[in-house]
Amino acid sequence: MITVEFTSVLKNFFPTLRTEYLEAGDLQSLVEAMDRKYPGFSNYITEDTGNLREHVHIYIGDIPIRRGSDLREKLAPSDKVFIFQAISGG
Amino acid sequence: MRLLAGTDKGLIIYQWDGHTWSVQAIHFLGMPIGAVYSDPITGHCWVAINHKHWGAKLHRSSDGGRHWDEVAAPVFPPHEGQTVKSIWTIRTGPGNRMYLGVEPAALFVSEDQGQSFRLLPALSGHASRDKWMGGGKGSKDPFLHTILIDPDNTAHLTVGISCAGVFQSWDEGETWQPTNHGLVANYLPNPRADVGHDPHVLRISCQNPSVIWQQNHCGIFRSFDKGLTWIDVTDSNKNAVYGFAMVIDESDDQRAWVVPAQSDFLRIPHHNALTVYTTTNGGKDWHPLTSGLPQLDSFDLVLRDAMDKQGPHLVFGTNNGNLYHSVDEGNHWQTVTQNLSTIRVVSLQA
Repeated sequence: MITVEFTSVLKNFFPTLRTEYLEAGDLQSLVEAMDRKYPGFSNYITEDTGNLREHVHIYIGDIPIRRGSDLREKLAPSDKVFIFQAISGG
Repeated sequence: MRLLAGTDKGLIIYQWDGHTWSVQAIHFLGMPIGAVYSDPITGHCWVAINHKHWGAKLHRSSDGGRHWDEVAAPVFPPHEGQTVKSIWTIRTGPGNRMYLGVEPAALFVSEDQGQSFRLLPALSGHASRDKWMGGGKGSKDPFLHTILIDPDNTAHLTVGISCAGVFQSWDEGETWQPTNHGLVANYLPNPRADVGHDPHVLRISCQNPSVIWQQNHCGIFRSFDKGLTWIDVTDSNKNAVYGFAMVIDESDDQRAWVVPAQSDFLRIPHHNALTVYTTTNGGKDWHPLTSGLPQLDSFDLVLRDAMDKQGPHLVFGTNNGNLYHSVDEGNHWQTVTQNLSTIRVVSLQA
């Protein structure tokens, strides 16, 4: 099972959000699975095109996903995914 | 009476007891409010939040703003290759129709009171689109900020797009044409071009819907033919020229109020003195209203939807978080607060 963790900021919009353990072959199917558990979730993570929002970061383990990714990155069952907002540095 | 102030850090609801305002509630703490709209037909209150990280979102209250539910915000069809970056304005029409104006400039319609939205593609895909401009402070794209629904013919829509101009449809948004004749865009190579204008805000007269006022980047304009053509009514003394906010009288189409800035470059009050200008004769003459407003060291700018009027009550908020109220149509002003974040929208509710 893939472990999915989040910035606590997302609990403002999804109060019941907690660490999830999901099965998914790639990031897109993982976001879709999250959307089924938390309706509307995908719209917070992806743009209308389906690509990763400009100011949202996803790490798979220690590897950052590139900005604007189409979320086709493959996932392994042992992966840990972390979703958080971009930090502007200011 | 209530006052809803949509700021960059939340929605603040004030209650007026006849003498003073008190905070009744704060919602969406820390979140940037993009639009506030109370539907006079259903009584629903709508709020758009333009999250920097998470995108534009839409919320609805059915109990006067005590509780809010998020509803699905509009999205562009995948083949458009665009994303809704922010929601600028919300309006409802007859039946179950509801319109949202967004950035990048486009108009979405809902026919089920906001349960779902569809793009009206003839506007965002208009043949003139490659001449539209964006890229001003806080915006990367042209955006649609004003929607007017003709009360005499609800299939007739008028929208304001910065920077493109005024566009109109007579078939509920299925087809569009620019109606900018008479406007002057002095920043363009051809100031009287069909498109490329910057109508900061449009206001339609309740008393006489043939009259539409416009606070434009390059002055103040008025239309007597429902926005087909425009007449320059800019202050001949050059005080009321550039600005964003404008309100007009509910029962007299000759009367309007604006809060001008010194220039598009400075975007501060003339000589740092915060001043409302008003006309009672359709823009022939403009008069300053200053009583109670700071006349020294003011750096306030009033944004396009940050001014409202109900009867004798006028209210406006500034980009520096200052909120002012008048009970006598602007002749005297009182400070409500000086401690808010940037105020983008104010709405008075009886």
